[in-house]
Amino acid sequence: MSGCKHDVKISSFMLILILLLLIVIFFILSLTTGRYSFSLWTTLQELMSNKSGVYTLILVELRLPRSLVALIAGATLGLCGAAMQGLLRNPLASPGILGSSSGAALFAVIVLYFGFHGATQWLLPLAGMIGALAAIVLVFALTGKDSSITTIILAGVAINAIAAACISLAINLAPSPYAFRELALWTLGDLSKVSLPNVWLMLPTTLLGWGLLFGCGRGLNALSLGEQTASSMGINVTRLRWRIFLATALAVGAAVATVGVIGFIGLVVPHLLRPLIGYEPRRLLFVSALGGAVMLLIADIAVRILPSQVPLQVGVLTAIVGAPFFLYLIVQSRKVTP
Amino acid sequence: MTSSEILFEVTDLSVSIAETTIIKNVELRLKAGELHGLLGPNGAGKSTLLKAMTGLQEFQAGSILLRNESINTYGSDQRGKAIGYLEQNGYIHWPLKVQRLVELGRVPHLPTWTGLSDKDSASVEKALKQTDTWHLRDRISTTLSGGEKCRVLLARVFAGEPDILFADEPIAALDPAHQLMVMNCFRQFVDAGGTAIIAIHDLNMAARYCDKLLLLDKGEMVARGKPDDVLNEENLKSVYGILAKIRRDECNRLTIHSYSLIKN
Repeated sequence: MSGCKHDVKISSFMLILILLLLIVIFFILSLTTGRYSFSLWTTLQELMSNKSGVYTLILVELRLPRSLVALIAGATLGLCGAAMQGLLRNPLASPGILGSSSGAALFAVIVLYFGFHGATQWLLPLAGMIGALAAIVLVFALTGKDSSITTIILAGVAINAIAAACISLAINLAPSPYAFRELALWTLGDLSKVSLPNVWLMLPTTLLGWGLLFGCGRGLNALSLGEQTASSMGINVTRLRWRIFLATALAVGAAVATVGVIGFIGLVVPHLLRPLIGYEPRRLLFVSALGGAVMLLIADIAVRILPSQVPLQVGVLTAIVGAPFFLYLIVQSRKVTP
Repeated sequence: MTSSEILFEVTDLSVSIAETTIIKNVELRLKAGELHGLLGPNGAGKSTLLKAMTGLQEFQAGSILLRNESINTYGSDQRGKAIGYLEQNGYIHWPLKVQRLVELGRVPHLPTWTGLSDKDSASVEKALKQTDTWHLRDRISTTLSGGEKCRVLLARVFAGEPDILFADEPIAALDPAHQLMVMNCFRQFVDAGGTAIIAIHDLNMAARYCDKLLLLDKGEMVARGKPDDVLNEENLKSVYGILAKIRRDECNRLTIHSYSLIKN
């Protein structure tokens, strides 16, 4: 018995190690990928000896924030996807299923539409976070404390639809082609414009959300046997549910507010990693956070090196690669369980 | 019989769901080492009663005492440790390995951030052996047969080492051999000092394995006591609406023969 327990521990330890290694590799690649190529090593040396040049500036002001945001937002998407799928016991759930992503996107688009974002750089991300929370508060207000999970999901679907409609309206009514482009592109996800203050701004709510989610492992494990049985084992299912909704709104809100809507990472990453850790929801949380970070780092490197006249948006790339891949996963799983 | 022997006590319990009264003034007492069978037709309120006693269902009147203290004063973790609940048609949502699934039984005993201790692993091992599922521990739980799955889910409950076990129709979907196997598991649990109530439709099985029977009809407890006292032709006629012949076999066991519907 101890032998079999041991095996699983080693393999999930190995998995974490591999994912950490991938994060390091792609983080470094992300720092060195872009229009200007320079030696990371010499630039770091320059930086250490307090010499500032064009390359140190590019590294610190552009590349580093971009890589950090990819890391943080990717981890958020992976983690929230895993938590949401565990909670709903459905591998098709995504972090934005209750409207937190589209709520964040809507509020950000409103700020962009009225041109408030010029006032202060804090306003856009802040609006996004408020939008994500507003969506969850609205779901709560519509469904009440003890609704069934189906009612809650339906409320989420409705709020997603309303937010999407309002975003479309804003794009439709855009006063100038420039504004039209800015609004439309914002909903497609983009990491090219992030700066270091963005990182500091997204960090507090992101960390709070992560902390809340990592503490949910025990409850999510118990939920593998359904809500009744989980309650009988002492899990407060209602509290667990709202804790995950709130934590997701905090973390996803911060991510969407910073980089726009990036789909499929939160859906595909947990799905991909689940068989490797033996389907246990608690184990899935941490590895999905790591996997999400790897995935977004790769996607953001890819949009920089793919040959294209117009810069590709990272959300478009994750969707184009993610959707068929997801389809493939569904077909695969159909073969296993008839 | 002193009150200290009584582990679990339900007094004057009433439960309503959406303005409909499901349970009316039910009383029962459970002592350690007793296996109780909860009988009654479909819709009599067996599941609701078990849920209320587990703490999963709010009740409007009466009291439920665990060791002389109201169930509502217990924290959910304490309650989870003391009471094991086996859901009717329990569903397994992820293809977990049997070992992992049974380990979930330790959830009430584990703080949020800790893994299984040696004591936890020992309880899991014991539960797997008790239910004769030790050989299945590396199998994927969702690929098991109905009988195997039922025993594995029961192992999950045993792994939590509850004092009291409430099981909702645990043998309803099983073949005769598996029914006997599962009933033997309950018997062993009770003989080792546990207390259990199982909702059950098989009257012969109930008569054979249970120390006491509780007969529920339209939310009311119409009879309780030894199988001989509860299973008589009048009760079966008035509660189930069936004509039955009750005999004793060569081992002096109560057997219920030749059911037929009352013609009206």
